[in-house]
Amino acid sequence: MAASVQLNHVTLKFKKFEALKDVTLTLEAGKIHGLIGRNGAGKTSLLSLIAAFREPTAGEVFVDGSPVFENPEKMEQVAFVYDKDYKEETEKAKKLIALASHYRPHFDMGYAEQLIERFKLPVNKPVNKLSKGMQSALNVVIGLASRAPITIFDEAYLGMDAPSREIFYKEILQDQEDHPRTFILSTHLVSEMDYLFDNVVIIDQGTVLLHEPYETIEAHGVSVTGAAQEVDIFTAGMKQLNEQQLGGTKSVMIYGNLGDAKRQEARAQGLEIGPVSLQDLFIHLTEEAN
Amino acid sequence: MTSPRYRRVAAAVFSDMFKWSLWFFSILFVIHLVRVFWLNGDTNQIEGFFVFSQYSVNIFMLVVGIMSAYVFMSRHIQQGVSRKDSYLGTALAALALSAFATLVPLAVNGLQHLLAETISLPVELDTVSAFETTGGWFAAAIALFLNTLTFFLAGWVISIGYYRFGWIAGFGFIALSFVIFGLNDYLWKPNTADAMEWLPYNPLEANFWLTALGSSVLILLLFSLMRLLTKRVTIKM
Repeated sequence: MAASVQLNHVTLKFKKFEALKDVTLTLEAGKIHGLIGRNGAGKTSLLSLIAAFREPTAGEVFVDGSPVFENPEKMEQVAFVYDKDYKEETEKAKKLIALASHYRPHFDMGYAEQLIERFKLPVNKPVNKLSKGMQSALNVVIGLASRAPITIFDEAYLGMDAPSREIFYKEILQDQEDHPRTFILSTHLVSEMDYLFDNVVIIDQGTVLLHEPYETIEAHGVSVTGAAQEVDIFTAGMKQLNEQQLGGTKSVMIYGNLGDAKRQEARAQGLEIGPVSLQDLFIHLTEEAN
Repeated sequence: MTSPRYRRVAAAVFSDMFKWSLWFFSILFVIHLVRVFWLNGDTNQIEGFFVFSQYSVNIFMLVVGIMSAYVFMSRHIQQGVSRKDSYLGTALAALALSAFATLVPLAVNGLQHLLAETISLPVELDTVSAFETTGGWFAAAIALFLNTLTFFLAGWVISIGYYRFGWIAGFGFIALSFVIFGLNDYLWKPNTADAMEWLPYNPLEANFWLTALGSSVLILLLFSLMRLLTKRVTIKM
């Protein structure tokens, strides 16, 4: 089960501050969408509209073509997992998981138990006594096991250690294969998660800077790797996003596409041409926009 | 047609409220026993459980109401339940809790009445006169039910006021709750309703059912106000 999301000229204002500015965006069903943006870019605002936590100031938000706000059938299809404040949550973790299974029609308790095992989540502890990483693991268990047609993880990994984050990423990919749904993963850990994305949305200051399939991102730039001197000569005059050097070998990220002639020239000089990293592109685009 | 989602909400909310009420009644009953056996002040007669618990039951319902917006509403919307289903489910659970909170004191009072006739207690329990003003236990039960529901709604209104409008406007909702309590006292406590003494008419002395009707109208108004206040509310994150 997967559902699509459409935002149609959506604006969200908090008093005079415009968190989202006339955003129009379609997120295809059954794909993993990476939503990336700097702090305060409007990611959470956008996601809270999809989850019907609030209404937009202007514009419309649709799930599978129907407005989502106060639409019971559509709201039921959206699971929004975010960094929730659990300071006052004295219920045990297993109670919150049971509640999710009570309300979510596609909830899979067997899968939840498997995840609890994998994350070593102490389900009999009150949630406010869990470590930050374990609270995040609880959120992830609920989000994954809910199998909602639209599952949103908004920086759901906060406080998780690297092995737990790895489990989280692997579970997303595995479950997407077995039970396809629409995932929206909001993050600023771009380099760690980019391999998960089918599509990428970069948002900055309330507007969408880029919305593309992950494969075409590489058309926005290339990495040139080879002997430092050769690379410097080859990339002189080009827009450089980033450079790394190890001994005599250098790798430079270039913004913009190389023509066929340039690619051939690089090959002739023994330089290696690779894809640009999403992280470098993200940093460049958001800096440029600022 | 409203989907059965609100019933799922009602079941889950009532299950939580029910657990709280079991704790509450257990503690209240222990206090009552202490009062009967040890702190009876050597008086000849003390009140039965129905009268003893009335004030506390109302406060309990007020507190449950105050917790409702914060504990339940966010949880529901986060689990993909619409505001309408969350509202209907919580309202239904509140009705059930009010019924339960009425039946327990009534049942305990009834048991006390039977017990007092068979065993000897250190003090005489007055398990009857509570029902005189209303003319019978059934009417008294209806009165308690309507009172508990009113207190729950007052709490619910306060909590949505704070939740939605912040703490300054929240004080306005506390002021509103005083108006609710004033009206409720006017209806049910003819001699103690100082705030409403300018009102010329004394409903309870005139006719019990008219009072119950007035109380029901107040409850309906509060239910409608809650629907208006939660209809498009933004969920805190």
